[in-house]
Amino acid sequence: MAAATTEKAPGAGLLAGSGVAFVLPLLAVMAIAFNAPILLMLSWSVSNPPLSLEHYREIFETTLYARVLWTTVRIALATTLICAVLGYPLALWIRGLSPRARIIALALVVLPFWVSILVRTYAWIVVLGNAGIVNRTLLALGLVGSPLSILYNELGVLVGTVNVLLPYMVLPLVAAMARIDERLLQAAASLGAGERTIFRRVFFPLTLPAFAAGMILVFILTLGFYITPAVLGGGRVPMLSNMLDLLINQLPNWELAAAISTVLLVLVLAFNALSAALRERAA
Amino acid sequence: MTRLPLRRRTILGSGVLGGGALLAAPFIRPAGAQEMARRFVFGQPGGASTEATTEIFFKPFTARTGIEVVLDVPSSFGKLRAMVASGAVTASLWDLGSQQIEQARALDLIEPIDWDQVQPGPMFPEMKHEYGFGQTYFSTVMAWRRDVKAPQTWRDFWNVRDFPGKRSLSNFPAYTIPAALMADGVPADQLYPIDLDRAFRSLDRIKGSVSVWWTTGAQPAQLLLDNEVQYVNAWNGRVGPLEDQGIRHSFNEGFLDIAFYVSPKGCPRAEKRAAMLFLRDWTDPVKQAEYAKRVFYTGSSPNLAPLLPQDKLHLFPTTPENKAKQSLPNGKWWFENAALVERRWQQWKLAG
Repeated sequence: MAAATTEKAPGAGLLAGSGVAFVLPLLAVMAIAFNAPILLMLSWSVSNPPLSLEHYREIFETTLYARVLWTTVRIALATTLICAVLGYPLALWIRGLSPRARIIALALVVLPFWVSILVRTYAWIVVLGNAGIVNRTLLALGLVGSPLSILYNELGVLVGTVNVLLPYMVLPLVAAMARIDERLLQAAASLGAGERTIFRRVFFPLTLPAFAAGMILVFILTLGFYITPAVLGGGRVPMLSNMLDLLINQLPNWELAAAISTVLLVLVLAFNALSAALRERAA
Repeated sequence: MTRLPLRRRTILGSGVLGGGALLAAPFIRPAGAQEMARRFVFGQPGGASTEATTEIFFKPFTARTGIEVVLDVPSSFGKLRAMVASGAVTASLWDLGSQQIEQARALDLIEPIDWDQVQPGPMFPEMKHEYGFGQTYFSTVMAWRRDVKAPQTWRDFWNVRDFPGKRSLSNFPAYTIPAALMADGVPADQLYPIDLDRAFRSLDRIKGSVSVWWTTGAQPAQLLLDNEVQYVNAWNGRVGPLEDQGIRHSFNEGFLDIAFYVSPKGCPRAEKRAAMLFLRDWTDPVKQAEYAKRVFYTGSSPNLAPLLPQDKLHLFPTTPENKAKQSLPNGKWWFENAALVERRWQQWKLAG
């Protein structure tokens, strides 16, 4: 009996200890379905002519791709900033609510998740168009003489991206704020700190890692947006994904598309590394 | 043809088990007979045109011949390229625009239509391409809301002072650049080779009035209905059905184009034969008229006009009167210049 147990123990211990065996099937799926295609894509980007950096040269020498890349980064930055400015106070407000009200408020934040991004994006056309609710109201009140151009420009795209991504900012913040120990704030108060000082020196630093993580998440997600600029940009706000669609499905110039995708991938990995470094410093 | 014996040997020689042999049975007939599959795969764009095609062509064809038509939706060019590149060519027919045929040939993605087997009824000559079966005509036309001043020409369309209102133009340069040239005074028969500098100078003049550069056919129609813009260029099948809702369009100076069916390179032989058999149905003017009534895109038959609803003849692109007002594109020019035009187009849009 005892011998049998000792015999089994090493194997079981290995499994339970590291859990590698349990993860293997998933790793295999990831490698085959996800990593291998990415490597294939990387190889496309240096093919035709074989083994050259021709397509990368085209990206960086043609002003067009640099400008599309810059537009994409600019919109991602603006979205991040707006989500931060709107999301932080919202999370703070939710934290102060009674438990019951908090649940309702969080449900309202999460609710848009359950509506298809396509439906939500098209809904903005109804709201923001020339004959939409906003413009009709403004015209009826006599605040403007002619309809405001809110759609089919960068503003329209920003409305769409912020609408979709705000929960990604708010939820981690609410979670982080809920974890903050009240006694720390009470201790600060008992040591004579005012409301502002407590916020600045105790509360805000404690939420900073989640805040930074939320911002990087929003930034990275915006880089890959496709539907929103396609529908709300009116063809005037080309972002990288739309450029890729054109290169893959219309032209089709897959080598250049692969090279642009690789640039996007590197950009995202860089920000991911930055995010990891921030987390490390916070921990 | 040369691949056929190889295929047969592969099926027999690999010792397929019962189920496989049974499935393969229809393909294995005595030598000499042309084998015909009981099904073939068809790359279709989806939407209203695929629905109409299914009702009017696929269902009766299957009922008559027992050959099943399996849809692969949507039929983008990228998907065609991926299918041929992967070596697993499943589809025997694929929906492709006239401007992509040259490029598909250059990339070695398509093979000739077997016209001997199709044995088509009468067709307009431009619909019988070595590599493409002309399915329907479509036209890129000017359209506008009933409550604004009606333009007669692209020059009117470009004239934002006398025809005030917002515009939406196609984001595909091949549909918009010819209009820009005609607005600048180039006659339809002298559009090619295209003078790009002149086209972009003309586009500069209208850029400020264009709210939306559309990328899907449904967009310009919806923008007109919503009064988001007042003038658009659009595909006639998208604006034709909206006549009752106050949307007007004209074939004057329209740009006629052809939607082709092509055969992806290396498609299964027996299935291609079934597909060619199906194509013959598409040359039937009675069926074409049924189709045109639903989607306003007309087929290849020169005998179609008398079968169309006579009170709505002005809505169909190839009645003799409407066809005479339009011009056809030079697919070869667009193929040779596609990459250059696209880059200039995007750059021009980004510049201020």
